Amino acid sequence: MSGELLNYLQHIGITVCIYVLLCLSATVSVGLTGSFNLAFPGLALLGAYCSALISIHFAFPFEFCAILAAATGGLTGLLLSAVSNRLKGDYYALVTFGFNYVVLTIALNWETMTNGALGITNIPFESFLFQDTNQSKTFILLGLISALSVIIVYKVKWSPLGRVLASIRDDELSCIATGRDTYYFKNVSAFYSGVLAGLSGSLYAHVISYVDPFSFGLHDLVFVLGAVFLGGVKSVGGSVLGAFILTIIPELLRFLYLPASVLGPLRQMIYSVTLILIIWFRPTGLFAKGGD
Amino acid sequence: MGVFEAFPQLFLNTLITGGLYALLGFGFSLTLNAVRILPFFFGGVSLIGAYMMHLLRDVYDLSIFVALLLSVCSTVIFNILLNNFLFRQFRQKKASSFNMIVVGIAIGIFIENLLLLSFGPDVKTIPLPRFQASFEIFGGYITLIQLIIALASLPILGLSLYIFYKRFCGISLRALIDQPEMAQVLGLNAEKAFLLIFTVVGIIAGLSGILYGAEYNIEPFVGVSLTIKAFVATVIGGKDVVPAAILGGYLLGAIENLASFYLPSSFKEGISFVTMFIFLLFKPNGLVSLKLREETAG
Repeated sequence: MSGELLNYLQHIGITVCIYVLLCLSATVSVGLTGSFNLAFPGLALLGAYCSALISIHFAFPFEFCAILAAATGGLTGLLLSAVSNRLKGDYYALVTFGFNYVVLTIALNWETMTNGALGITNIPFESFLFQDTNQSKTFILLGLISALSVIIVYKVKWSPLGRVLASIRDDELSCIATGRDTYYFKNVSAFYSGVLAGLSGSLYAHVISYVDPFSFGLHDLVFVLGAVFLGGVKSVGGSVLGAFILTIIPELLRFLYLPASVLGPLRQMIYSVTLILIIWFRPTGLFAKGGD
Repeated sequence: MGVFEAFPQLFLNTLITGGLYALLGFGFSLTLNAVRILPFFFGGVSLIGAYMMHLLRDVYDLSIFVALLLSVCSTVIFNILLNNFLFRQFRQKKASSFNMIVVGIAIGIFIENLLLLSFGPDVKTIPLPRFQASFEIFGGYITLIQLIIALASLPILGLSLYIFYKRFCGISLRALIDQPEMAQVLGLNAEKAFLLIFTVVGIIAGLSGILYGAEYNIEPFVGVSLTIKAFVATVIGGKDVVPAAILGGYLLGAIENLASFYLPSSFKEGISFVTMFIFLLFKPNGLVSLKLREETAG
């Protein structure tokens, strides 16, 4: 295998790893709990900025920044959920959707901190575990982190907590009737979802070494929802596969040698059409087990 | 300059932006209540109207009225296609409400990128040179096109309200909004009503998009921001009462203008959301709400 091809594959692999984490964040809130939480791009953006600023100003190693970013994402998600969780489904979706715009507005306008629309450049990537990082090591590190996250989310899904969340998703009223505080459990799920989103943002910031207010936004919302619905809303492995498929399909478009001004919009159109078609023909997703 | 000296200008600005938001909010609220979907694509559809107007005026150089008619027709046709080819199918499949939200977002993104692909990312304008003359009212300045924006929403909204409350088709529509099953049992044709709704919303969306484009610059990304304004107007007005969105639109216009007097104008997007958060927390049913509705709202 030539070095160039290996580099290219590793690059795709790194992108997949970052988006797998974001998809897991959506799976935890949308798939496992059934709450219409659309805040994950905003939380990822928050995590990215948080991680970038900490590593620039305090020169902490990457792992430490990532943990702090994940905590920030989780706590913000928890706060947002605690404030708006009692709203009915559609309106909760809209409030969390609106949160993305609040983060975007702050990132654009707090220029002394975030450097406005220009974004933060030259974010260091100094790992504690791997000295002098190169692309292969980055890929291995990200692969480990996302594999670990997949395993944890899978374990959570079949844990007692996961079963309570599933019962909230399937029939919230009967879950309340059995004495569960659904408000509390929804907040817990929003916290986990926020942790994963913040982690994904942090990885993005350090690996790409650049973050601007448009790094995470509406386009990621469609990508992630597309991936999650493609693989099956309720299945953890399905959303990972969905992230793979949706990353690889537009990569194939590259070989058509279209100009970048066509490629970007075309990619988004593919995602949105995929999303509509999946919900039209198989709303449970491609890899969901029959019945649910 | 203090707020009191600037008051006449702020008042006029409120009328202009408020009129626009009222129009957008009314269309949004109508779709939300009648069809029971969150129309995330609403701003995108109005932007289609604005871009068509730009195309017909700037590129093909048609006269204003022909261009206006054709661009409103385009948004109506787009809306009807959406209804017939997408939403009718989803209604028959009984898609869950979250799936409908996701479909709405997907359509919105699709429209945005379609416009980006066909018109490019740069800023476009709708040239209306004869309407740029400015004059003074109550010590504030206003251009002719702004005056039209401030006033245009009134006859459109008035006509809609008249149809909505006095004409048979409007009353049957309200029956369908209140009690969908009962109205259908009594022989009202829901599909026909949905078609009517999407047509009316198409007209409102097209007109508001064109008015927006005449006053501000149009870019493909503006669609989302228009949707947000419409949604916030709907929420703070009262999401269960369709005409309340008009009130909400004017209130949102007033809040935005007052806030942009004190803060940099780039905070506008954030301000509308903060307003919405506050309303959802303390008055989740909005300014105007029906007590009875709370039990039946699902």
